[in-house]
Amino acid sequence: MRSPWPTSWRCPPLPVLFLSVLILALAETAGAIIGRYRGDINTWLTEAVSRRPEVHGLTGSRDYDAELIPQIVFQSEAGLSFFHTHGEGMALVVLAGGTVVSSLVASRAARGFLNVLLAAGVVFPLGFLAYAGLIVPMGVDPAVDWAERWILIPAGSAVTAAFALLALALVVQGVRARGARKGSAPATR
Amino acid sequence: MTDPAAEGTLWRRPPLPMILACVALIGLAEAAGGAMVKFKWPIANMARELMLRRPAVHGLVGVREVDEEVLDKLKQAIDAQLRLFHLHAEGMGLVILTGAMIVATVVPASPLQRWLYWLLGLGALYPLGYLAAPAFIIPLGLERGKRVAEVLFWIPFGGAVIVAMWVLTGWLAREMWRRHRTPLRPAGDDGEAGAR
Repeated sequence: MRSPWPTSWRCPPLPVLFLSVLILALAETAGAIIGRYRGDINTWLTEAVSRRPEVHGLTGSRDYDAELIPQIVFQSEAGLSFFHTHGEGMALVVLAGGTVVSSLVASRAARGFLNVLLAAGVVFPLGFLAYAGLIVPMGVDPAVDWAERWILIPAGSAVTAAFALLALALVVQGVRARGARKGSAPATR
Repeated sequence: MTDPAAEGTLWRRPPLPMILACVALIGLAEAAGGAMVKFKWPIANMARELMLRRPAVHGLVGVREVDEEVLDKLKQAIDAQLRLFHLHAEGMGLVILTGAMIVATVVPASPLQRWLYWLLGLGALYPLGYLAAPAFIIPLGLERGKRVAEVLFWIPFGGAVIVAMWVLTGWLAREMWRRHRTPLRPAGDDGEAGAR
């Protein structure tokens, strides 16, 4: 087993690096698409929502629908934006967390478990992409519910648990290291 | 030789010019964030004066009620570009630094590594497009000004980083597949020390 507090920073495992870079690449590409084709995306979404009046609660009344459709389109566009921002952010968060795990957590089994939980964080931003895409066929509330139930809550909880357990592991290691140092210190009177 | 992509490999630092570029970009982003708050009204007023001098470019008709609405929209657009510079410069500084650290640590010294450094390094110029956009919007108008910034900055330099990230993703996938097919021999088989 390693010293509890090594001074060098170690790389996370290759799969964690791969997943982080993958979500970064997807988020950057999404940002470029959103920036370049914003108008086309807005037009397509408006038409797609208008073609599904029963899904989106459109009444056929011009004044009412003209106010409702932009709100629905805005929700979908917001999902795309959130995917871009959270994809970029979560990649960096997972890499930072993975670095701390690989560098400071002494137990190999604990490192493996924490890295699996962290890797779930890479899935989290896909929840925003999912609801952006599902709003058109399903409607705003069902799409958000689906994304929350199957992606955002499980993946977000996994990452949250990873950091909480990481903090706990570091505290436990610290307490044990202090106990070991006291135990090995020569008695003085 | 130890597998450079093995878990527990020490992080290697990227080339110093890249670190300097990222630090400078983040510093500029932070300064811009402060300046946007401190000089919000002087910037808006200066932009307004400059746009008033070009009524044909900005569709100003000389009627106060109409022109003020148009000028407000343009001022908001310029303010948005400055905010986007602040956000993207902070973010890109971190993304490029992290990407370069991964390249330095897991990609062996090779033409590929140099190409990845260059592509990532060019990405540091991407956020400057948001800083340059107001300078194009004022003389050219909103849509044309943004289009010029897009062609000169966002597409080439943003594209460079996107290409770098996908190439790096593909390389990491290939490395994982290679390790899966040919696992490392345990330390001591050939007399070399293990990775840890």
